[in-house]
Amino acid sequence: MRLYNIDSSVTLRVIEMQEYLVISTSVDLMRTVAEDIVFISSDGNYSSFVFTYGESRVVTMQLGQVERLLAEQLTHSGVNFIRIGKSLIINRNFISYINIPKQQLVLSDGRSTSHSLTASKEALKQLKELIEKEVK
Amino acid sequence: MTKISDINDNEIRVIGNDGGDGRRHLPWWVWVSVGIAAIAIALFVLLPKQQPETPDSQSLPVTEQESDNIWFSNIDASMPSATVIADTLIDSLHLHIFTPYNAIPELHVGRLDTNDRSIIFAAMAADLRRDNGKIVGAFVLAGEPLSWGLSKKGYCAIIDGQIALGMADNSPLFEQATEQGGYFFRQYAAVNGGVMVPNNPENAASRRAICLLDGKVCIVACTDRVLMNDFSTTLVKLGVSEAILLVGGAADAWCRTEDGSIVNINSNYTQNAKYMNHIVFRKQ
Repeated sequence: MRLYNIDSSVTLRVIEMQEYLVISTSVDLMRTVAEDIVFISSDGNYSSFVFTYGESRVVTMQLGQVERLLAEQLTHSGVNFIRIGKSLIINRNFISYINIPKQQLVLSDGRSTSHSLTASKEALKQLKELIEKEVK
Repeated sequence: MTKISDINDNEIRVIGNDGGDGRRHLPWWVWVSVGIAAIAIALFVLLPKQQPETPDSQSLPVTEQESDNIWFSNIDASMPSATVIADTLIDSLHLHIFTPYNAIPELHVGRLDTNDRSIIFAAMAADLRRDNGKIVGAFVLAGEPLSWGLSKKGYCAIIDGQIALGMADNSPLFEQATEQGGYFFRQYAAVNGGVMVPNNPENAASRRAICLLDGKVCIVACTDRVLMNDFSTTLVKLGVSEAILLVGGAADAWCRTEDGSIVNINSNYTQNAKYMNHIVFRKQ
């Protein structure tokens, strides 16, 4: 049986002048440079952060709550993050390849980090159009 | 925290995007909604009150009503306390409807004694955390809060022997349960106001829910492995107006029928956690 883990005492702290994301619970605290986040995926009531330096970390928080923290804490780099469907938030700086028919999205820094993710065709189509519009 | 609307799998959303020019452009339907709300408020203030106000569904526990529903037709008030079981099939799903009657509901924390003949129905109620075994979400036991916080929007409150089911971020019934020696727990809402409530978990499992069906409280269980949202949809088709899921899967649940025999809905659960909790119906 799957038991869900929610910590109701999750609080947020904003570190001024720096684009850090801080997630604090009653027992631990995660502080990370926002630009080191490649993507965040949802696993029910957990969210899994994947970083550029190859590590990942799971926090007891739903993806919607993480999205709110990103929006509230990140004054400048918040717009770098894009929610894709119900279960994914990506850092747009790492978008390197989109294939709509294959429903494939590759996030890479061109050096050490590369992750192939799946999203719906419609979401990828919108993402592709967004990136195209920004180039023009 | 700012409110972020739901998103489906075919949508994307730039986080922190406020529209570019710094001004937030509201969609047309927001303005329409504001207009309708303004008219409604004006009518409410200006028109004389000729009828009593509808009670706030959150502030008053549900009172069981007489029912002509076929599921309850073989129950009458003179029968001794027990659980009546009815079975049906909807969308190829086998549903079992358990109706404890002439019974007093309460929550229980800790191991239950199946030899306690005063118990006529028991099922695990609130989820437990995997890391520390404590209760997920707000929980009140006989007026004593054991856990706080919003984990799932559905709630079940038991105050003065009456059960209230509903869905809200904040329910005054938590405080009411605390003040009046009542009970309260949080779980997934499956049906609210006769409408199916979608939920995230996508695994198939046997499901059960405490429901309000034709004004009566009952527990509906599906022993088939079913997706949570499919189960909720089936409850709506059954005619359920409110439903809060109970712990499903292999979680412990059993009842006692009129002849005194125990029916195990599921008895394979062996966890002996300190905060293992059940909703229990006892003989009056």
